[in-house]
Amino acid sequence: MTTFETSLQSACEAVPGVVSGALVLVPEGLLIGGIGDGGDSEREPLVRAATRLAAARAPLLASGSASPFAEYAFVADEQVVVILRGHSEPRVVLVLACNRGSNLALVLGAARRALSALEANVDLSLWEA
Amino acid sequence: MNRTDWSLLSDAMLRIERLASDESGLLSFGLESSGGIFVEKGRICWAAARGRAQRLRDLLNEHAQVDGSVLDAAFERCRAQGKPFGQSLVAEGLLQSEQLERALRRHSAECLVDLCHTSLPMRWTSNPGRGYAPRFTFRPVDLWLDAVGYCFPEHRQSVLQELAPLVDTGRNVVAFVLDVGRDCLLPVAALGEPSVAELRLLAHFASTMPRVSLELALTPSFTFARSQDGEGGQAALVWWNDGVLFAELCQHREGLAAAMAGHLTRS
Repeated sequence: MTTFETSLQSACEAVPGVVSGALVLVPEGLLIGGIGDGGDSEREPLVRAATRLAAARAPLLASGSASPFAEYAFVADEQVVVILRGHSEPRVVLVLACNRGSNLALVLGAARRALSALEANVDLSLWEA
Repeated sequence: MNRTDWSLLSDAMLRIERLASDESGLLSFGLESSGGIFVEKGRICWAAARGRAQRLRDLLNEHAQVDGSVLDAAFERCRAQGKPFGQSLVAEGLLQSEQLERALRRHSAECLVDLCHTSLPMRWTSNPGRGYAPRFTFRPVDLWLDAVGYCFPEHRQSVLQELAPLVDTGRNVVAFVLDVGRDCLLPVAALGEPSVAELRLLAHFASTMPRVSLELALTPSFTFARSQDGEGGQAALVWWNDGVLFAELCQHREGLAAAMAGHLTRS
């Protein structure tokens, strides 16, 4: 495992119920790191999901402006998938698939902290445009 | 299979919505004018399609619940005297004002669907000064919703069931039906007062969620999206119920919490 993936693993350790995850560069849809079950091909759906959502245009507010969405959650019976865009590096998207057993708020909170830790400790500028 | 060109229909509604509030005129369809949409001061008076006159009389008859012969006699009088038929029925006490409004609105929606069965060119002809002096006018977004509802009546019950508890709560929820043939989401009902432009954007956004769900091989109870914290932030919730997709926009944290609570309980 590379140093980068070690950092990714460490950052996501506190997210409850993580089954698999991917760190994706958008809009290219490039997988730059992964954790959990499976290899790169198993993470392909996570990459596609992140890429598609990064391209989605947010609906208008009443003010006429569109505030881009920075996080998504897909909540199903057995699983929840959270997709978060970087604050300081909005081209980087963290996708985590977690077991449904955990509270959604806990999963989201932990995922946000994981992404913040990644942004603080990893040189993501390698992928700057 | 429904063959309406929904893009053309929503383009027409958007075009009217973008008119200045003092503009009146006719948005005609087709080079030989298959019909058109009459606009008075930025609002729609009615839509007319060739061959639909009898249908208006049928709708008035349904709403008026008077004998057909009485209606026919009234129609002949109006034609002879050059008076507007519907308004004359109201004046003679044969129809209530609300019934006329419902019939006109329904007729306009059906005409819109007719006009958009094929991709006809549209042309705007301004009618400054004179106006049509209609008794009722409608917002473009309302006729768009009516047209979709006319084509997809089977979802009416699901929509009413889901939205009824949310009326007067201040929540902004839109119900969409899926036109399978054209693979597009169509708004069929809305709480709050979204514009045509806002509904188009929301439909585009909402359609992303099921597509992503497919890619993730998930059948979500609901999905949500949230912008960054701070002023101007918003959130969106998307969920399916009985073949209808619902999308809600929340602009405050409290609104999001209230909306999410219901879905978390259900799931």
